[in-house]
Amino acid sequence: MDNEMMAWSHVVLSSVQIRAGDGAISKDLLKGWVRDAYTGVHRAAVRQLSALRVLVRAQELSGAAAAAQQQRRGMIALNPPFRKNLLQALLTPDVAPWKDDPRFALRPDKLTPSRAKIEGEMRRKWEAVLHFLVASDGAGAGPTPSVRAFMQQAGLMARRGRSEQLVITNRGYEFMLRDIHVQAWMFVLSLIRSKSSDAQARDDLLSFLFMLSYCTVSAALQPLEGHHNAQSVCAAPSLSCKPLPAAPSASVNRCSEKVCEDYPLLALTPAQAQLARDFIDLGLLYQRKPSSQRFYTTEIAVNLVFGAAAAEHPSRAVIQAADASAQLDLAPRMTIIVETNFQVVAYTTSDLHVAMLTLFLELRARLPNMVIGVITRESVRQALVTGIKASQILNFLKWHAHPNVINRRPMIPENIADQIILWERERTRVKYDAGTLLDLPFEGVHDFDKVAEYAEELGACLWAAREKRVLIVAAAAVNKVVAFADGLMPS
Amino acid sequence: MALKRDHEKRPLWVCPDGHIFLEAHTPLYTQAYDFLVAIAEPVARPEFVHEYRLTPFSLYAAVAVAIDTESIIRVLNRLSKVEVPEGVNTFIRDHTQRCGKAKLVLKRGRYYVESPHPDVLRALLKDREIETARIKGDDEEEGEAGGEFIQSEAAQEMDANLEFKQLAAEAEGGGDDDDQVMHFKVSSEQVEAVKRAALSMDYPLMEEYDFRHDVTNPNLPMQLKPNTKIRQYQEKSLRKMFGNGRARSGIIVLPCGAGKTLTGVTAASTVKKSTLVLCTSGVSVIQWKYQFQLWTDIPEKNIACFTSDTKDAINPDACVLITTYSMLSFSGRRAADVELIINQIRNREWGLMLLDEVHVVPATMFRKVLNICNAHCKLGLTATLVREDDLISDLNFLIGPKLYEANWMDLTAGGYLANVQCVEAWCPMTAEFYREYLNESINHRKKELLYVTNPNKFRTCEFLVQYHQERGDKIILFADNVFALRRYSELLGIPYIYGGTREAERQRILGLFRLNTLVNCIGLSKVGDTSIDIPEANVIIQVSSHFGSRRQEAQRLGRILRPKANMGEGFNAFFYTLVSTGTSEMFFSAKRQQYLVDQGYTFKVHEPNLRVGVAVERESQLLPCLVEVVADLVEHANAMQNSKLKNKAAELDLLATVLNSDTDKADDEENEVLERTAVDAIDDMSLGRAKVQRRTGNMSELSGAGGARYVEFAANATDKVIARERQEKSKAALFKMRYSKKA
Repeated sequence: MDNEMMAWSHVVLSSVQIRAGDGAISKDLLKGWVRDAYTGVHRAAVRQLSALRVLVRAQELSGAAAAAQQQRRGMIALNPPFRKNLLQALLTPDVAPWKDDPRFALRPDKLTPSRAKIEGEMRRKWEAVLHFLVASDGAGAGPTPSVRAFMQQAGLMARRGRSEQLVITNRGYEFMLRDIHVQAWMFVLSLIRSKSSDAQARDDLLSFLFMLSYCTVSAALQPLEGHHNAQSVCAAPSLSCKPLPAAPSASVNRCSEKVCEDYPLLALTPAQAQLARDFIDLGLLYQRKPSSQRFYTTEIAVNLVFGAAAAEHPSRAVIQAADASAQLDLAPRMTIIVETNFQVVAYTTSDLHVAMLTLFLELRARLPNMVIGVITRESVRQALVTGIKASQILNFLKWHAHPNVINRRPMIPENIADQIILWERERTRVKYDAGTLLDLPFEGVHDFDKVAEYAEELGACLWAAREKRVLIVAAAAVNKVVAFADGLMPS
Repeated sequence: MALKRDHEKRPLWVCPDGHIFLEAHTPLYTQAYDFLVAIAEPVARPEFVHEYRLTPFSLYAAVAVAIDTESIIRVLNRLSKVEVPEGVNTFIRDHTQRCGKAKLVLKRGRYYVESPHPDVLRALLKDREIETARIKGDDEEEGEAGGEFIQSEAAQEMDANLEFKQLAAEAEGGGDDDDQVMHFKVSSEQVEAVKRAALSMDYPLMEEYDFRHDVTNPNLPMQLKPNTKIRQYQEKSLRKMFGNGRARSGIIVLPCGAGKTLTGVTAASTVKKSTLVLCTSGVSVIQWKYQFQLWTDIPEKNIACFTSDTKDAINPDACVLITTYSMLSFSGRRAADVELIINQIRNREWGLMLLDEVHVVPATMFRKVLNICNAHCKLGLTATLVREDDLISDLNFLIGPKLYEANWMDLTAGGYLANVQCVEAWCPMTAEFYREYLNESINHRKKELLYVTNPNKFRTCEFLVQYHQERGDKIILFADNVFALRRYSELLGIPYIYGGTREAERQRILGLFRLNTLVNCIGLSKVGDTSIDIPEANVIIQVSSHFGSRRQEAQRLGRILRPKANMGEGFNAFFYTLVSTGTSEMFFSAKRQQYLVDQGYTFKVHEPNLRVGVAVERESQLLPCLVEVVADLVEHANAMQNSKLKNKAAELDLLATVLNSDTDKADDEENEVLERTAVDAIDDMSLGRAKVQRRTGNMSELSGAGGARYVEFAANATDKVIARERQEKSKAALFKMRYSKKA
């Protein structure tokens, strides 16, 4: 993954350095800047960038004479608008979103929160949300109405019967099992969808999301980092390649200070401000107090767009999740051992994890760093009743497999996996099919057989008693079968 | 509960309720295991995290093998990831404080009360009975130390048993070892009175037999043969017994097939005094004798069997006598020759008493046996000490603490046991059989017969028999129900043994099965559960069983646990249980497996439709052949042209036979012949299904979870007996609490 990213940035940055004209460059020359070992990666990167129309063939660019066109065969260039914007972005690296407008300039915050505090707060809030999702026993204050609304809207929770209480649904369960980036993205998607009628608001929200990804939590994020890495992949830069201006010294300084970046709320449009408030509720953004005019971002919010991209590739999502928890220690990792005697040992310290486990486990002991529970028919049935699927339970157990069992095949003992599936199947022993009973007044079996055959062909024959000339036909096909039978009746 | 900082290096958690969880994948596992098995009851021992429980009896057992209170607490604290809860410490102190402080030692034919703490002896002597029993001043040792008691070197415990001490010492600079003990002599006539008195003073005396210094009883000329190899776990268990050079009474728990007999034989050859061996049946008497002669050089004249068929003369010098529980406890009129032998047994001082399959014998029978025999040391052997009921306390009381319990999975991993693949095959009931099964007017015995003779079950069984015969396996077909056993055997064309089979016929069939390559499958009723030793067998197909009896399940599995010649990777023995879906058999089956599941065994459920959906996504690493079996089973369960039970007509025919059969007659015949060693009676009883005296049982009783295992069953006066016993026994502090619980 890293190689790919580096190759991309290498190609783009190399191309953008060509100042002459529209910046067309020979493919071969470009390739010459890459070490032999990386040509494969490089070629793939060029192909992908071309497919995205970030790179275009130089011939396609208008305005050159035919002779010149001939000359430009085999050359490529950055798409001009992309190039223009990229250059602009690169040359003004210091200006963060919403900061260039003096109207909203913020005075330095006297009580700048530390990064650890922001991330800690985020984790606390997010866990509270998940906790609410898992154990709807109203532990704690519960999340804000907007979050509740979201839960219902997205189908993560539903009212059971007439009670006011929300109960987790199988989608909610699915949600809970995902990585936090994906969860955040699902949340955003559902919000955007709910605003889908209002084009203006939707654009606002999208631009807010993109702006967010240009924000930094503290100055630790270095926008040019990718470039430096790319350089290391490259061979020594050729003469024609002027080195880029170094990263602004200010950003380096701030990096060492680790001051968190604040952003003005007032700069946002009303729709954006609403979203920002929702984000604050969820912990994705941080606000010192509700009346405050500034907000701080978190790692998750900044990576929202990128994280979502990763979510489309499940394989990447895994890596992403592992990375995220390794760097940020976002959610302390839980590891689970499933034993052949239905005992489940989960190494975790988090209440949230315990709540997750109690969805399908009967807890036996809670110890400081470990929880022991048993999978019983009753406990699994309870989970199944809420619509959670056996496969989801198994995936959850697999996802969190303890390092000691991760190489065991299968990771979950077969008898346990089978049993859970059997318990699920138990609930579907009786199948309901809407049907109509046809008492066919035929004399002989011959005609009856024809009708039965016909119904069979339609896949609608649910039951037939030849001796009694009685047939049960699926509701959907009743008319057809009746018509067919009528056709056979002696008039 | 606070986690210790270096918790990752420590292997266990101690919970406030006395449960202990042990991580099996830590470096300290082996030491921790040995320690825990000495002080706590294993509850479940699967692959990664074991569970143990501290009980008064387990602590009693710990003290009995010379682990003192402070060591237990210190080692526990050292191994624990969390601070040991104060409650647990108190619990340990409470239950170990008084136990093991004083011992009753039999040395040079004299009884001594021994203790490292003079205070304890003084306290004991305050009792008038003990005071009078004390013999003073006739000994030259007396007075040498100038004190009130005789002082001598303590019997040294073997280093191996003190491994845990090291752990304790590392924790806190080590404890000081008392090498001096005090003792006083008591008269042998009043030993019983002394024991009782000490018990009532909450100082239960632990009995030790200093057999090396026993000069009154003649020695038995018996040595292990040089080629006899004792396995490491057998040695370990015997070390517990002979830890300090004396013999302690107690129980050793080893899985079937792990060499219990050899352990017993070795114990006997260590003590080298007259030995009484008690078994459950005549067949095992013969097997014990054979084993004695196989492992040791004992002369023919020194070994005798005493059963209803054989009544060997007992050598007047030291000898080994092998007999059954029922021979000794029989309360009716005995024939003259039997009476003679019983008297001989009664009048002899037995150095060692070996109690085989100790878990199956009810308390009353024990008491009778113990009344007759005067044994200095008792060793109980068993494979399945099924816990959760009163059995353990009874045995603790009557025999002694559990000295050692082996881990099935460790032995399997070490190659001492066959690696068994357990499969539970679900066979759907055919429509006709199920209709009858649901018919309320049919009694439960018929219902049982219906799910046992379910045609789908038969076909599955037939398929498995064919499959394994082709592989060259030796198959045992278990059917509790005699009617079903006959049907199955006749249809499959295999010989079968049940209660009614004559001894000669039995031996002939077993001989055929062992030696003839053409006879690869036999049917056995429950007579085959324990007493028949067939090391060749490696496949068991269980078509009907004794309700929820976990004991039976474990013992049947034991039939194929002997290590196989082709010990390699993967499974080399197969245990199939055929269950008719949708019947009470499903419920029983789950209950039966509990014990084995807790030992770490896995029961793979096979259901005709299950594989179809799941097999694809599953990365199975089983033996290819098993996958094959399972795959074939799917195909097979429905379409079976060459089955003996070809068509619906045959099925209906079978149904008619079943419904008209007189099953009770067949079963009665079986039970009559079965030596009612109470094995079944106990099961029947605990399963709420006593035949003589039908009772309504609740669900847990029916399933075998009820704690009635050792309640006397014969008389109506049971309650009175129990009440009386309670009074007697409740004098023992250790055993007091369970009565208070009951009440």
